Amino acid sequence: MTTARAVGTAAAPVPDGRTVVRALVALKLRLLRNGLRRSPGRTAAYVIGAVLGLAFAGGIAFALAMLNGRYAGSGDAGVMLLGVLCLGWAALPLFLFSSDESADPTRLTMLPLRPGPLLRGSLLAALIGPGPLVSLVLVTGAALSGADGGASAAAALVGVPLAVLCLVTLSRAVAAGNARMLSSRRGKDFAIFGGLLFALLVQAANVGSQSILGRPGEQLDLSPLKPIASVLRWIPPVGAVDAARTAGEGRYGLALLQLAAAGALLVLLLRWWRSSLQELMVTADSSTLEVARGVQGSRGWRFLPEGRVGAVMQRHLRYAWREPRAKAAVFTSIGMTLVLCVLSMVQGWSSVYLLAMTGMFLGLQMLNLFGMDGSAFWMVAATLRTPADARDELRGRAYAVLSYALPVTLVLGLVLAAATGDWAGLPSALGLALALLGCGVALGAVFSVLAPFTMPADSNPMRNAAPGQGGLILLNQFGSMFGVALLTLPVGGYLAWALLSDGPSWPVLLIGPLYGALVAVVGVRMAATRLLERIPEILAKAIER
Amino acid sequence: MQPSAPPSSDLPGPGTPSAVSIRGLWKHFGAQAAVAGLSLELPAGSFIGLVGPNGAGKTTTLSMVTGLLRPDQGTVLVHGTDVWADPVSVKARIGILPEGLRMFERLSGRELLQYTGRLRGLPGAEVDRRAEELLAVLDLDRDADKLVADYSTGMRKKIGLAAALLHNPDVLFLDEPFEGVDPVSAQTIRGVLKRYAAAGSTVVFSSHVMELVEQLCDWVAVVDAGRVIAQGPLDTVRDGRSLHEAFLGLIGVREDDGRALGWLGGGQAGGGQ
Repeated sequence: MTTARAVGTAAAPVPDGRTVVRALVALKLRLLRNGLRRSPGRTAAYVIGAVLGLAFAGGIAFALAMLNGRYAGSGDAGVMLLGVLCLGWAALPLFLFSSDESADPTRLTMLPLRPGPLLRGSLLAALIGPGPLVSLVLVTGAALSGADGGASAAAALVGVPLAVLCLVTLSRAVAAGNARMLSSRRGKDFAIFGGLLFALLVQAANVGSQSILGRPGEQLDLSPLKPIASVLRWIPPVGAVDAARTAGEGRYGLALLQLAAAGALLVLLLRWWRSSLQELMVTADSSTLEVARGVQGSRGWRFLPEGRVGAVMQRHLRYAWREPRAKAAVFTSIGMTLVLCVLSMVQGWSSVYLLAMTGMFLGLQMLNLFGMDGSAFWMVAATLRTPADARDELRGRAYAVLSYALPVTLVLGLVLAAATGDWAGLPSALGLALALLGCGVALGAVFSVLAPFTMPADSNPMRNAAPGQGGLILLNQFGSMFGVALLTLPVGGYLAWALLSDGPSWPVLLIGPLYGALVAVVGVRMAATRLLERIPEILAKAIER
Repeated sequence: MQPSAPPSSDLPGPGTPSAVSIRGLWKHFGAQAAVAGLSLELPAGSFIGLVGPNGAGKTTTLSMVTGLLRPDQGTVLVHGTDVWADPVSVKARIGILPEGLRMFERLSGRELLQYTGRLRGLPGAEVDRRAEELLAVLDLDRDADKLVADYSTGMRKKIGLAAALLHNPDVLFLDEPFEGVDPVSAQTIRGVLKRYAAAGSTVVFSSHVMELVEQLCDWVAVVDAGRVIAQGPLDTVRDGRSLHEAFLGLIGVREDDGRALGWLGGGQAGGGQ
């Protein structure tokens, strides 16, 4: 190979392997550093996050090591942890892909790079960062949980780095293998659901682990882990850590087999990664490949009102289904209440009045309506002419929110009543929820007009506001919750009185919706009067930076 | 197309009413003045090109003229009506295709037109009829049911143009309508715009492609550093030169520095040491 230096008028030669590896590692470091340099707040958040993550991982690793010898089946806990880590690393690219530039090999396609050095450089670069470090600590803890004696130490010395390598390679291979899909619009849309699913899975795991391991304070019993662990330990990267236990028990052959299997997996993953990289370098990019499917027209929209109200409602509902950020907002608000309901049932403190949360969260879907439009708000701004237009615009959006909020509230109310058996409380809980919903709609409309905030330009759904607007967001999120609670005080107050003094609580079913509707109408009207004059200011806020 | 002004004058003659008249327009972003006392009279029924280098303030000016950005100072009249005092009648009479601002991209092309038409208060059947015609003329009928998010740049500009034309405005403002558009789509857009202007409507578009402006426009305004440095009928402004030369002369561009980049070119591909 020639040296990588262009002199005189000669064109630059193909760079040699070591230069490429060094450049890729330097690129990763530079991307990390520049990402931090964008704001001191971000640097602080990153450092604190990394330190906390490491401390947390260290704590878990220490706890796992402490289990060893005190509890039967301590190795099973380590195996479980590694299983979770594997899942996490494999799923990571699905919803973090677009935020990590260094993980996207398609950005390098125009450079004269051979796959070998590219692979080595990418692997080294992937090993840099807090993620792999945290994993190393956790994997070490997992190995310690089952280790016993010198043979164990030897096995762990090979197995732990091998497992970490496997995890990182797994993640990158999955990313490269699906890069086209992940960088396309559909992939990014899917990432939202990946993220939501992950959050729900974490909650499910939380509930699951509480039901398996019992409440804190009770005697720890690891035996329920045994059947799961006995399967998991045969999966290669998990086996590499389990080798520490098997070697400690004197089953050297088995330990060697487990290590060899992990090594073989690593080779396979590297091969997959390499062939994906090669493939990526020579295939068209996703914008060319993406065969966009059309959307079907539907006759179901005919029940919508005529004119602007109907058009706005239809557009809002289509966005709630099609646009990742809007979709995520709607589904997290429903998902959050669902999780809370399930959690409360499992832990036995459920009440039909949890329905109030549903009303509150769904009503607050009216927050930052125009900021959510992004710069597309100009299309609305260009057509808002009269006060009637402004009122119709806000009414359309309110109807859109109500069109899913009302059925969801009703269904969740029935579910909660069935689960708690408190059918007598259902009418008043529904009334309260509807009052909250109405107040949320009113405040959301007013805040949307008076205090809109910018959504980030990238489509990353995990970030729900562009940086530098702390005050506005605080006002929107907490101010609105506080405001809604305050506004609903008459209804809530009556209900509290009725419940405490055994008065009739059923009137809330009447008062609640009426009061909510009244407040919503007043709120929408108030917001509409200000909307017209504030169009340029709202548009300036809505444009992403 | 009608001649808009006598060639000797920089301003439209008294006989030609102004479609747009801008007086003393200012906009500051922080300490920087993006538009610094810009005044302009755009004759009605013309095809008007607003040219200038990047960062000259074209987009900012068009945003203020169309009611999307509040000016710090100055007035804008569209057919005699103040944009910022009476937005109701102005918004009904103008069509906009901004650059850099997105549309509702998670709607299909057809849905976007239907939505825009209904926001504009057109009856549903009329919207559908116009939308189908526009989709057909702009060669978008096959892709009408795809999401705008999946459209190419040319298709995006075309659907944006369709949305801007849907209510048959008197004045059409287009910010860089040909930026990143392939020749086929550009030809389609051009044809539609010419037809629209031939019917007596006014088109105002910004561009930095001089050849295009030369072909399409009968009236140009050159903007630099937030001010108008030349305006008038095309032939007056270019004054016997090509518009490209006239433009560079007006902006005052320095000559190429021949000494720098001496190593560039003439190399052997793959050569090393």
